[in-house]
Amino acid sequence: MLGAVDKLTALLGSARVLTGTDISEDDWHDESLVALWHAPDAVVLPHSAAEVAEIIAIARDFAMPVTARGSGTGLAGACVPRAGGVLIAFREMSAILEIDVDNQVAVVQPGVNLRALDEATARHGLVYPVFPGESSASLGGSVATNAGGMRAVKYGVTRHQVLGLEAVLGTGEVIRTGGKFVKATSGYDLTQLIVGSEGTLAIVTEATLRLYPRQAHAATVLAPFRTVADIAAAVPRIVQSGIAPMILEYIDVMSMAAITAARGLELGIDAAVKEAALAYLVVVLESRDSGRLDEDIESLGDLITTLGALDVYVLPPRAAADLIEARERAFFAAKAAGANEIVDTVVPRAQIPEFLARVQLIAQDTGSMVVGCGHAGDGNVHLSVFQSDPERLEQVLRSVFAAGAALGGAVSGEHGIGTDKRGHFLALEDPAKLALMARIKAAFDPDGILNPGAMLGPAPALVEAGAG
Amino acid sequence: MLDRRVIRDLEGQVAPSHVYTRPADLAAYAYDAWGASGERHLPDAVVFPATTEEVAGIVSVCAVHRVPIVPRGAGTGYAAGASPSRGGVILSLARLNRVLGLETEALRIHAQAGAVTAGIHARAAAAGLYYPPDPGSSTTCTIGGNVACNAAGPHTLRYGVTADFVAGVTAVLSDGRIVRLGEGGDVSASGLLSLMVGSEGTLGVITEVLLRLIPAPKTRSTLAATFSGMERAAAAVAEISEAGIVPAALEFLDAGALDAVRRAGGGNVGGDAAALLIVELEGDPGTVGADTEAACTAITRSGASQLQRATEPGQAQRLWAARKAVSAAVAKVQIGKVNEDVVVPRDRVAELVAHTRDLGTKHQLPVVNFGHLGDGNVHATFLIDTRIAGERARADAAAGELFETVLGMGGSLSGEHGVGAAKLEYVERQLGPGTVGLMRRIKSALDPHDVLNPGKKIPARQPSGSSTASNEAA
Ligand SMILES: Cc1cc2nc3c(=O)[nH]c(=O)nc-3n(C[C@H](O)[C@H](O)[C@H](O)COP(=O)(O)OP(=O)(O)OC[C@H]3O[C@@H](n4cnc5c(N)ncnc54)[C@H](O)[C@@H]3O)c2cc1C
Ligand SMILES: Cc1cc2nc3c(=O)[nH]c(=O)nc-3n(C[C@H](O)[C@H](O)[C@H](O)COP(=O)(O)OP(=O)(O)OC[C@H]3O[C@@H](n4cnc5c(N)ncnc54)[C@H](O)[C@@H]3O)c2cc1C
Repeated sequence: MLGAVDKLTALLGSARVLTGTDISEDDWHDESLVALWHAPDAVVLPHSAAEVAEIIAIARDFAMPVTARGSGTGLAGACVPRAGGVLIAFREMSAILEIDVDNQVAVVQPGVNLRALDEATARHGLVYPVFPGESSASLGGSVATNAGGMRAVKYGVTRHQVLGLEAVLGTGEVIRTGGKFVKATSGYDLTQLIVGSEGTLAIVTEATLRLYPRQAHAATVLAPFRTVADIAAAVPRIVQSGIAPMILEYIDVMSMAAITAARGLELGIDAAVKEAALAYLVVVLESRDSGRLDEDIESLGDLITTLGALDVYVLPPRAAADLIEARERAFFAAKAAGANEIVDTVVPRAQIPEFLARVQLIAQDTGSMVVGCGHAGDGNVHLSVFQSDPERLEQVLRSVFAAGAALGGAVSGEHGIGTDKRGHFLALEDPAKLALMARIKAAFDPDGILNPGAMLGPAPALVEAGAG
Repeated sequence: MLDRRVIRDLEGQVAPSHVYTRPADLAAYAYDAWGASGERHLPDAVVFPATTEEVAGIVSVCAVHRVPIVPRGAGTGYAAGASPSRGGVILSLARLNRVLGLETEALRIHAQAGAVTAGIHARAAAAGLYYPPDPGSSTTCTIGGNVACNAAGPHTLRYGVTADFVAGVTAVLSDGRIVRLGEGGDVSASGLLSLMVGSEGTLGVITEVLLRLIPAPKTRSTLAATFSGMERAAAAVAEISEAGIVPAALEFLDAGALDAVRRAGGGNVGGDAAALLIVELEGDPGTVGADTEAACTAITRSGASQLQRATEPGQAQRLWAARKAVSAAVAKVQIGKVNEDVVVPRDRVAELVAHTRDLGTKHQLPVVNFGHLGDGNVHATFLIDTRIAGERARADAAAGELFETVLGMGGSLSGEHGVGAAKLEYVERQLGPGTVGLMRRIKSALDPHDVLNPGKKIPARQPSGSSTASNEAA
C-alpha cells in the first residue's frame, strides 16, 4: 500500500515534496523564543488551491496533522510542524494576482510577502496599510494571525483589510468568501472567522485585500515624557483631537536604550531631558499635502506640550526612518540582549499604567527584568521578559497574563496564541467560549487535522523534540 | 398554538403582562418592513424581557420545549427576518432600550440591544464624538438589529459597516447561556464576535453592545451634482478616488429614482437629469477644503450638468433631500416593489444600472436604482402593481436575471439588508453548496436544535436524498 509521502509525491512530483535531510531546518520553527523545534515528515510546495485540497484529502486519509507555513516570522510557535505531520509551505504560491486600481483592491496568493506587496502597490500610488514589524511576513500568515502593527491606530489590523478569501477546509473542500466589495450580508462572516484562526480552521489559498491611497508626506515626532502614565493620559487627548496619527507608540527608557544602542542611533535628545525621561512617545503623522502636514505637526506639538511632554522633536527623515525600523526590530534587540520570552498582552488603553505597575511588582517578586514598548493607541503592550529559570519564567508569565485578564485584557493582542501561549489562553478564557470555538473548529475541520495543538484543543505529543 | 405549559413557563420568566398571546396583540408582529409588502405569519407569543437574565430565561424555556425564538428589534428589517416563518415566540428587545454609558476617554459607548440607533448618534454627538453607521432607518431601528444585520449607511463608505464599530456584545446562546464576546480586544476570540455580528438572530440573542466611537469630524462639506447619464456619474467617482480622496459618502439616484421623487411631489429635482450624485467630505477644515475643490474639478471634468455645494447643515440637508426621499417616494408612486440590495465592485455600478434598465424593458416594469455608489451597493427596485396578475412573477423573473449578472460581476446578492426569510432561496446560488454546508454546520454547532430564528439566513438542508458532506472541491 502507498504511504502518505508516496501519494503526495504522486500528486506534486518529487521536487515539491521534501523529506528527511532535504527539509531545511528553517522549516522546523518560527521566531518564537520558546517553542520546541521539530521536523515534519514532509514539506509540500503546492501551486494551487486544488493541490492544497488534494494534500488535505491525503492527510485526512492518513490522519496526518497539517500545518501551514508562511514566512515563519510568527512569534508564538504557531507554524511549528507537528510530529508525523505535513508542512504546507507557500513559497511557490507567491504571485500578486491583481492590483485593481479602480476598486482599490489587491488579490494575492498566500506566499506573497508584505515587502513585495508594498512595492507593487506603491507603483499605483496605493498602499496596503498593515505593517507588522517584519516585512518578510507573508500575507497568508498575516491573515492567519490577524497581524497588527504600529499603523493599526489609523487603519486597523489585518481583519479590517480582508475583503475575501479562498480557503481549503479540513474536509478538503475549497470555499470562497467575500469579494471585491466592502459589505455583504449573505451568509455568516466566514472571512472574519478564518482571519486570526492560525491555520486551525482552513488553509488560505488566496486573499482579496483592501488598499488605500498612499499619502505622500509623513513626519515623525518624538516626545520624551516623565512616565509611561503621563503618556497613557496623553494618548486619549491626542486621539480625540482628530489629528489621526498613523503611529502612536510608547517606548520605555530601557527599551529605548536597547534599540538605539542596537543600531547606533543618535536622536539628538537634550541630556537634561534624557535624564528626566522614563518613557518616549513616538507619533507619526501622514498627509497628502505637505502644508497640511506642517499644520498637524504644529498642533500636535502644542497639544503634547500641554500634556506634559518634556520636549518635542520633529525627527529628520533619516533618523525617523531609523527609529521606526529600530522599533520594528525591537524583538531582535531583545533577543540579542538575552530575553527569555516576549509577551504582547492587550489591556484597555486606559489600564496601561496600572498594568505596567503590576508587571513591575511581578518582576521584583520574581527577580526578573521586564521591559517594553507598545502600541499606546490600542493598549497592546509588548514586554520582553528576562528570566532564565524556566519555572520562574512560567510563574512570571502566569502572573502577567492573570494581571492583564484582571484588567479586562487578553493574553495576546496580535502575535497570537500558537503553541506557546496555549496553556495560558486555555486557563484564562471563558470555558463557554472555548466550547464554542471547539464546536466551530469541528465544523471546519471535523477530524482535527489542521494545526492541532495551536490555540485550541489538546496538544499532540511532541516526540523527538528539541533541536533548538 | 403553543402548549399551555410553555406560556406558563414564559410567564415564570417575565411578568404575565409582558407575555402577549391574544391574536389582536400578535398581529403587528407578523411582519417587518419587508413583510409589509407581502406574506405574514403570526407568532404564538410575544415576550418582552427587561434584562439579559430574563432573555436567558426565555431562551432556556424555548430551548427546553423546542419552540422557535425570533429576536426582534424595531422590525424595520428588509428581509422578513424579525417575523416568524413558522410560529413560535417573538423575543422583543423593546424594553432593553437604555444607553448604559459613554466612555469619553476610551471612545466607546455601551448600550442595551433595544436602544434606538438615533439615540446612540445623539449621545455620541453630545460628547463631541461620532458613531458613523447611519442606516436610513436610524430614527426607529435598534442598535441590536443593526448589529444582527451588520447594517450600513451612506457614511460607511469611509468609516466602515456596523461590524467595524462593534467592540463587544453580550449574547444569549441557544441553550440560554450568557457570553460576552470581543470586549478587551482578545484576538483569539474575535472570530466569535464577527460570527455573531450579521447572524440575524440565528446564532444568539444580542442583549448588550459595546461600540467604538471616533472623534466627530470638525468640518463637513456636501456636493450634489446631476449628470446626463450614470456613466458620467461613475466617471466622476473614479476620478475622485484616483485623486486619493476618500469621501465620507458617495450616494446616487438614477433616472428612475429621480422620476419617482419628482412624481411623489419632490418638485423639479435635478431638472431633466438622468443621475444625481451626492458627495460628502468630512475631516479637518484644511483637508475638507482641498478635497472639496478637487472633487468639484473631477465632477466638472466628468461633464456634470449642474453642481451645488453646501457647507452648512441647512444647505446640506436640502442637497440630501432627494436621496432621503427615495424610499418613501417609491412607495407613494407605486403600490408594490421588488426591492433588491445587490453589491458589485464599484467600477461596475454604471454597467449594472444599465442592465437593470434592460431588464425593466424586457419584463415591462419601471425600474428605480439608488444607493451607496461608493460601496457598489445598488438598491435595484422593480415597481409592480400587485393587483395586476403576473406583475410579481415578472419582477421575480427580472430579479433572478439580475442576480446572475451580479454574480457574474463578482458581486453579492445582499449588501446590507441581510437574508432573513426573503432572500433565502438565493443564498446557495451565491455561496455554493460547500460554503452553505459549512454555514449549516456552524449553525448546528451553535444551535443544535434549531430554535434560534429557524428558517432564516441559511437555507435548510434539502429534505432527502442529498449527501451531507459533499466534496465538490476534490
Ligand atoms: C521582528 C518582528 C516583528 C514583528 N512585529 C509584529 C507586529 O508588530 N505585529 C504583529 O502582529 N506581528 C508581528 N510579528 C509577528 C509576525 O511577523 C506576524 O505574526 C506575521 O503575520 C506572521 O506571518 P508569517 O508569514 O511569518 O506566518 P508564519 O509564522 O509562517 O505562520 C503564522 C501562523 O499562520 C499560519 N499560516 C501561515 N500561512 C497560512 C495560510 N496560507 N493559511 C492558513 N494559515 C496560515 C501558520 O500555520 C501559523 O499558525 C513580528 C515578528 C518579528 C520577527
Ligand atoms: C426606510 C428604511 C431605510 C433603511 N435603510 C437602511 C440602510 O441604509 N442600511 C441598512 O443596512 N439597512 C437599512 N434598512 C433596513 C433595517 O432598518 C436594518 O436592517 C436594521 O438594522 C434593522 O433593525 P431593527 O431593529 O429594525 O431589526 P429587526 O427588523 O427587528 O430585525 C432584523 C433582524 O435582526 C434580528 N435581530 C434584531 N434584534 C436582534 C437582537 N437583539 N439579537 C439578535 N438578533 C436580532 C432579527 O431576528 C432579524 O433577523 C432600512 C429600513 C427601512 C425601513
